[in-house]
Amino acid sequence: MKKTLPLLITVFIALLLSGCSPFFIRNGEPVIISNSQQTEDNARNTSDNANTLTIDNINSRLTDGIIYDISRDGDYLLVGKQTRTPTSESSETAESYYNLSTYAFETDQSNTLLYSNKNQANGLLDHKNKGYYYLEFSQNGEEYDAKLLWSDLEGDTTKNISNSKESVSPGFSMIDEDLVIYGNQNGEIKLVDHQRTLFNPDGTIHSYKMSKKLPIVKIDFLEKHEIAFFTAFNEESRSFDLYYVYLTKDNPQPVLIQQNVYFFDLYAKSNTLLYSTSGEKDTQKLVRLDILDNTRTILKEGYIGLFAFNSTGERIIYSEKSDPSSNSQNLWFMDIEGKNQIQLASNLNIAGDRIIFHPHKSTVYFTVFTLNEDNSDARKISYSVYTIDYSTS
Amino acid sequence: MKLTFRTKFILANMVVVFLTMIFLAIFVIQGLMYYSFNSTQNQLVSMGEESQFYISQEIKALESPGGNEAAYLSNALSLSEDLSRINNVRVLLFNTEGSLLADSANVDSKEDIDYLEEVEIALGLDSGKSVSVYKRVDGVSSIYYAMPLFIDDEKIGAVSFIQSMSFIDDIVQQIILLFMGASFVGFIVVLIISNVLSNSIFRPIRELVNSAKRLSAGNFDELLHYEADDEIGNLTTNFNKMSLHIKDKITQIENEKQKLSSIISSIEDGVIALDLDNRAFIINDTAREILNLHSKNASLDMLFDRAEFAEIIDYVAREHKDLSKEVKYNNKNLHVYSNLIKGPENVIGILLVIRDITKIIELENQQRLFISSVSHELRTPLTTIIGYSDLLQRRATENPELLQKSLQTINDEGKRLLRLVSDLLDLSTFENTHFKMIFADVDLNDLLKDVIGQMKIKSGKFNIDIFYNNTELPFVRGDKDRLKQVMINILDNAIKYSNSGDIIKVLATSDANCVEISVRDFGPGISPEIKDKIFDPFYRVDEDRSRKQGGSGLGLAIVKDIVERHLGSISVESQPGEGTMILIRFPH
Repeated sequence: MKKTLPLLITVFIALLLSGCSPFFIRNGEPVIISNSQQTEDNARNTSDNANTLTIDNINSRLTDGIIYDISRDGDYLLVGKQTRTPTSESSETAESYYNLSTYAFETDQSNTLLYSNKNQANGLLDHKNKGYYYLEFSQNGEEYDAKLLWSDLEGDTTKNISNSKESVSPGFSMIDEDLVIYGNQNGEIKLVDHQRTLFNPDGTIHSYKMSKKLPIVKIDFLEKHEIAFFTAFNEESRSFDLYYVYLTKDNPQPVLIQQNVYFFDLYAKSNTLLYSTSGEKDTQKLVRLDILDNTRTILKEGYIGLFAFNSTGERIIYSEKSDPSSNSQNLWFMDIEGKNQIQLASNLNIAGDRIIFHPHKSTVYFTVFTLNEDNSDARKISYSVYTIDYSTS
Repeated sequence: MKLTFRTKFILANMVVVFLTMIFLAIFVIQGLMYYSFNSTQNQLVSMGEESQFYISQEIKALESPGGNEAAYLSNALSLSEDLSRINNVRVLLFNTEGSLLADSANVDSKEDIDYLEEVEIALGLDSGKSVSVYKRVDGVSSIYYAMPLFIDDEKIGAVSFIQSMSFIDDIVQQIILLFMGASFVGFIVVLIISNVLSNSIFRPIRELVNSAKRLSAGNFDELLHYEADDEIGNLTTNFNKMSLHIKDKITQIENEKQKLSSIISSIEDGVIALDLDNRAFIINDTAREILNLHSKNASLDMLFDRAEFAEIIDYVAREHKDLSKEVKYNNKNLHVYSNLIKGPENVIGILLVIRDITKIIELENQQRLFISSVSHELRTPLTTIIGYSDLLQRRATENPELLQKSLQTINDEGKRLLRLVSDLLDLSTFENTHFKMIFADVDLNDLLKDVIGQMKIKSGKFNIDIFYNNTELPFVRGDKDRLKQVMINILDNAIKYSNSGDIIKVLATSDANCVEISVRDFGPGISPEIKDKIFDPFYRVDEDRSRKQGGSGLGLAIVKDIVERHLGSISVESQPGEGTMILIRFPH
């Protein structure tokens, strides 16, 4: 015991002193790291990746405004810009609204299509009829109503597509050059045949009143199967949910696909739906739904922002925040299986929910915002169109 | 300081808890450090990749006419600030020479960040590689990370991150405090629980200890009861077996000792075993009897004080030889045999075997006296016969009177010799244990009448009368002829020692237990000192009278022998001048 006690005390002191210093980490000794062995993010961009992407050109401010669409020939963009409306004699201050404009690549010029003292948004170019559909918002008390209109590119003709009693869902879709689908706050789905509407004044707006009243937020249509997909606010669960409904009856019954879905993208040619739903904690899951098989594949989980199929449907582009508290997002490409991920952009303040692909080139367009405190305008947030030219091999 | 096993148990538990807490703390701290370091390093690598991409993106977005490097050099500060904001880490940008271009933090640091070894190393690396180093500066841990910057395979500089690991230091401090607190609480808990548990754990051990005490005190009957099948249970079982085994062995030893003691006690000789300190560890009752060692004050020291015994013991101890010797001790003749008591490897003591040969000596003396008396008795008549024979041979024809007298004397002496030989033979026969008497119911009254009738003829010659009185006499078991002989010898003796004109009274009575016959003469009587000797062979009160009357001196010895063979008793009462009464008792 007499011999053991000093030994124990010595061991104890040695352990106590050494326990606070790291055993396995060398102080002051540089260690070379091969980055490919490290992070999951790096693993996306390893040389083992079958595809490689090269950023050829970046234009961080192609034009001001929020991008909505691109012309079929790729010559101009449909952009929402902040414009000052002409002031009336009684008004001493100019007011600003977002009106739709076009931006021509060749001339680098913007042209406001139709000045309005109402905000215009969510425009979609009608290539066949040389016009565009858009929503016009008006404030009714504390609520905003939205109307769906069509206007020609010259601004000469404007037509109301929706009626005055309904408030159109922000997310309407152009199915093809003749067909537009929209929903309203009353839970009605309207299928609008443009041509008939124009040349048949009686119009061929087919209205579907669902058996359950669901205020529709965004809607799209798989024409060949007559299935409409939409997100709507569920009063009972207090969440935005994804539904589908067969538009074969006048009073179709909506079927819930997934709860907690705000945004989705439909690629009709491959009968595939892409949507994001809530995941663990604050993250989202990006899910691909094969409509005909009704199989769901989780492609990605993280702080997902916007996402979309590219024009061929072979790839998916999506944005992701590295930090949920940050506004900065990274932009990524991946295949429809969720693999072969390639970074396209880093730490950009991406806004909106639209990413536009050039019809002929490997170029993407999306909206970014900047917080400009010394901006002379009253609004401190300014939007611009960000464009990336890339090439893959 | 003596610590009980229970105290040691509790202390050991506390030490175990303490060491466990220390090792846990070290394990946790080291693990946390290692994990945090690796995790942070991985994050820095990811940041580096992101930063590389971001810088490339921003440089390309600028479309600087001076090229990528020029754009990098002119925008390094904003880039470092953007990266610092994005990654929440201090960002340093360097050019290809390793010179600092921008630092996202405006802090005064003792460290020379204008030159960092890791940056130099990073500038020499290819794309896809980076360098990391852990440093502890001013007591604060940090990871310094550096990687080269490439835009389209063009190296434009290097980026470095300085990630503080002070949070780890804080956590380690917290962990140490927590473990210290936990250790303290653990001590208390262990102390309490060990105290409680040790009671139940050590109870069987305490019982074992108590049982061992009782076992050592000689109580082998108590067995321990412990149900659990563990080490204590095995110990208890084996202890009980041991206890029973010891008990059996001790019982065996006791039995053997008892047997030995019984054997030694059964030995008619005295046995004394002395150890090397002359203390007796065995002494049987016979030895005590012989040496008169019954009283409390008696001890063997009295024995050793006697020179005879001391010499014997000394001789045996010295010469290592056995010794037999006769010694005289307290008026006893003792035969002492002594030898060494040898153990398996050495001598363990001295054995003394003592035999009381006093009676043997007396018997031998008696035998010598008897033979001497017989020889004398035989020699006397033979001498007379031979003498008168010689005389006759020489002078028989000259003197017819002498011839007659000599022949008469020879005849008388011959008869006397014959009687003597007959009596000797009788005595020998009676003393022969194989001699069988024929027992039958004997009417003593008839027998006495018969014998008295015969003896009256002899007594009448000497003018002595015999009177007989009796009560109702029961039958006795006896040999009629021998009983006759008894009465003949007694009456013959009474006649011999009566004077002319005396009477002899014979009285026979009986009581509940025995028949009593008394023969009283009124002769000279016997003095008290010698009256018990009259039953000794050849003893004569009056030699002359006995010889004249032809006595052999064996009559009363024969009488006594026959009476005792009949389980009776014979006694004599006499006073000088008042005659003698011989009293015989026979049981019926």
